Amino acid sequence: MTMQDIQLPKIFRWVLQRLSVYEYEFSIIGDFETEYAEIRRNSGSLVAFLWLFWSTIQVVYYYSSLSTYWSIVMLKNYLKVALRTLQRNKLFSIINITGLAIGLTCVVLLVLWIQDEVSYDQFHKDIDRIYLTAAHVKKSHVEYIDPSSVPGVGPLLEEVFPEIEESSRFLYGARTYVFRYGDKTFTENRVYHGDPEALTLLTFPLIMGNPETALQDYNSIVISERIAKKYFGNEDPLGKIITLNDEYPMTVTGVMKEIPANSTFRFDILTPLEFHADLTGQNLDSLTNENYFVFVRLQANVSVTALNDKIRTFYADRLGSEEYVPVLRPFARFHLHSLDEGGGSIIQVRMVGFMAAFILLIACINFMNLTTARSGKRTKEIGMRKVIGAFRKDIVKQFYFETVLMVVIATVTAAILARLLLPIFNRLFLKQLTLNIQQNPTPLWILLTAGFVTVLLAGSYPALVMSSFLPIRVIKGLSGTAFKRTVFRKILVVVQFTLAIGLIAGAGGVYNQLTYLQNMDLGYSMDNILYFSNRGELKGRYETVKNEFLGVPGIEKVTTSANYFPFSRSTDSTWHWEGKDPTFKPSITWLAVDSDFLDTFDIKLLNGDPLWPRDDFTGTTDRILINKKLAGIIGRKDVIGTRLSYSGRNYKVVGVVEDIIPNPKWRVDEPLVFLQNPQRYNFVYVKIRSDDMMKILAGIRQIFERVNPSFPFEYEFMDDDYREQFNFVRRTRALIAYSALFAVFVSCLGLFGLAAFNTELRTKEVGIRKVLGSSVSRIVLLLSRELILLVLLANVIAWPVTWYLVTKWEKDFLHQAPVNLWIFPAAGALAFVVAMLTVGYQSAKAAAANPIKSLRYE
Amino acid sequence: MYELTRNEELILLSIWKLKGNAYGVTIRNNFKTVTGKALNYGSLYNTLYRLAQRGFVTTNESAPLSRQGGRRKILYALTSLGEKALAEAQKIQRLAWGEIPDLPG
Repeated sequence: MTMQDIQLPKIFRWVLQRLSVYEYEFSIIGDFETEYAEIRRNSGSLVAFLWLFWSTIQVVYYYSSLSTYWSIVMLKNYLKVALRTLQRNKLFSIINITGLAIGLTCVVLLVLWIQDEVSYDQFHKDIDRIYLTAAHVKKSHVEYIDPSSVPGVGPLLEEVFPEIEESSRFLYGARTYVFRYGDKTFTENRVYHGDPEALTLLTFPLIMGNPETALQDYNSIVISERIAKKYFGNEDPLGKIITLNDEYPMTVTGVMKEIPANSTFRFDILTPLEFHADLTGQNLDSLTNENYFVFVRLQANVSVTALNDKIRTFYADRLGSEEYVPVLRPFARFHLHSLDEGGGSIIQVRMVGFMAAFILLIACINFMNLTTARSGKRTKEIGMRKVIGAFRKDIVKQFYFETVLMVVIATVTAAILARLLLPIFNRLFLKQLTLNIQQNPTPLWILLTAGFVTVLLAGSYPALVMSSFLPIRVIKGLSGTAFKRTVFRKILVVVQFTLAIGLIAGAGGVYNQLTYLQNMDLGYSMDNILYFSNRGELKGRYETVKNEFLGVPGIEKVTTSANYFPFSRSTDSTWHWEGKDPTFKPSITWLAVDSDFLDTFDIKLLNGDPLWPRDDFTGTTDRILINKKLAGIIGRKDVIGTRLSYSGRNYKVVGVVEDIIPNPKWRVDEPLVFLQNPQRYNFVYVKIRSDDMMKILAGIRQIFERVNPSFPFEYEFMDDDYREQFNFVRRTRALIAYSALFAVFVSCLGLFGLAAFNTELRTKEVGIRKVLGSSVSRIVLLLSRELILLVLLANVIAWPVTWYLVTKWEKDFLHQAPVNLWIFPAAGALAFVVAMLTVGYQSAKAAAANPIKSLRYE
Repeated sequence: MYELTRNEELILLSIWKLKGNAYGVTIRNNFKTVTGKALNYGSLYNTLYRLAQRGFVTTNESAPLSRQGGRRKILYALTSLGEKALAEAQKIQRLAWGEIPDLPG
């Protein structure tokens, strides 16, 4: 065996080669091979291998101490050069770093928002086994799924289906009561009623008290920490008695932690459902009163699809009901997914997600463009470094280092900005978001990943391509790849502007649709109408009090109805009229109203007489009004005078009113009957003038409190209620609009930088052209033509794509706004004008400069 | 003053002793014969690196040898500065140990 044959095992050779200083200065592999061969000859291959293994580890360890020293020296140099480069090109540095920082800030805030939306209700224990029992209502003319259902369904399902572990009910919506403790009296409007199991099925954690038994007692009450503080200060609240509505003593049996903001149900006080049922005379086994949230928890590993099928079969076979079938929907999806599983707010959340991704992309492209453009000016430096003795590797390191430095500055700025803007963001979008890395590291990860990707994308071109330049060429000033580079950059500019224009146009389309939904003509107006319950003394003396109200200056109309218009309704399918096919059973909604109802709500009477003859205030008559839809269903030419019967009573149609959309949530018009029934008027509506509202409200309060001294005067504005339904939509709309604006802003920052750079490169050319007699306008045109063309191209690409996406998105809505075609040219024009301004400014500055200055510039 | 650590001193001495044949393997062997301890390559190289930086040793690349599988060998030699440093170390050694008799043990 000759010496040449003994080589180090490959892996060790590879490791030792990495130790470049050792290899270069001391030829480490040679030394190792000699010694390895000797040991192998003397002591055998095993000992040699062990020696090699151990020595390599040692050597690597020692090398690290040497190279750390070495790289710190170089790092200092890189840092110095990087800071000088940043300083020399202040404008570029600022544009570049701010662009990325703003982009990242937007992304962090949007991600926080999305996280919050997605985290709704997820804090409940076993959330994946908790289901809401919704009501699948299927009638002849309408089919929908309602979250509220009948109270009897919970116990019924629990008894019939062993898959259901536990069930619990809440009363739909919050109630308002007056509470008194000692001499303290407060009105609380976030009071819920729930079954005793409510606190074990859903996990609203108790600080004091036992969740298993807290609501067991008929007169028990569970309060939040804040309420406990308000009533009892530092006293122990457990066992204390507070009085509800000055009548019912309730014993505090538990204190809850404040319910977090990302909970669908948020209440301050929880009292037993049974108490409410007795108070209002409801039957909790009822299978008709759709006014409850019914929750169930399934056994582990139960297929909910199969269970839903079983429930449907059970209802059809045993109860003969197909119109109303309970259907289980996962509570975890309640906040974002609509119950018919056709979309819901999740669409908006996804859209915000896309926004965030696009903004990140735009900001990265920006950064990439500017970094690569600027690095083109540093070919000579690279040449010099190479001549002095830098390896390619060193140049690569240097450029990566510079990019890392800028990205780090931008990332830190973004983190600080996000922190500072968070309170404003929270106020704008009604959130309680916090930026806490320990609790929620996701934003940090996003920043780090985005930073890393940006470094990789933006740093790689200068680091990898430019480091390969031959020193002789670049020092002579021949950077041969300039042309290829600009093509790449042009593509990026087009991509960036396509995204920006798409975002503006898309946001425009979304805005348009959401505004359309909000402003849709419902067939009635709720402006400046406030309402309150018709209860206590008021109920018996309504007619008198109404006239007193009308005496208050500023009050225009007062009216009343049985159900809370327009959200609540009574519906039945046993209405009958002459000539009706007896098997045809449309469900018809009716509402008992008084004489001023149509005027107050601006509901149009199409033909016929008003519901009440002007001189008749005596009460129930058989006159009714029907809407156009019902008139169509009855299908007679002259529907006035038709006789309808329902529940043993006969009615005569005296007029036809315009269709209205009674429940804006379902947005379908139903057949509707307005009738009179003075015994059932439960709500009073007052239409007031919008000026001097305080004085008018004081007037109403005075009358109310005199008539009804035992009830607090509590009212709501109807349009507030209505708007509440659209709050989420409205806020998302604003979020999308803001995001689009930021996207455009960041794009324009980038364009501004590129324009400035291009102009700078051509300073000399501009000087020569001017000396040879070119005019300023021609030069501006010359300089801006290219970028402007790119922006135009971006328009051409963005329009059809956005149009397609917006129309596709709108398909998810029941009522679609016509797509406003002008948003496309508008978005294009906006991008174009801003681009023109930024580019034009730079070119004009260059063109107007004295050619002597530019020609002397070397 | 050319202060040397113990290792630096011993390595410089090895190079001096090995004349033209001082490279990694031989220096290490020499170190082992003198002290009885093996010097790992890492600390050998790092010391050599420092010595080269201070101008005490120079390196020469040998012609590729068949013995090392066609690899070059890096040979070290003392510079005049290196010799001065050794001389100084010797002087200190003499002064420090001069009047002390051979110690038992």
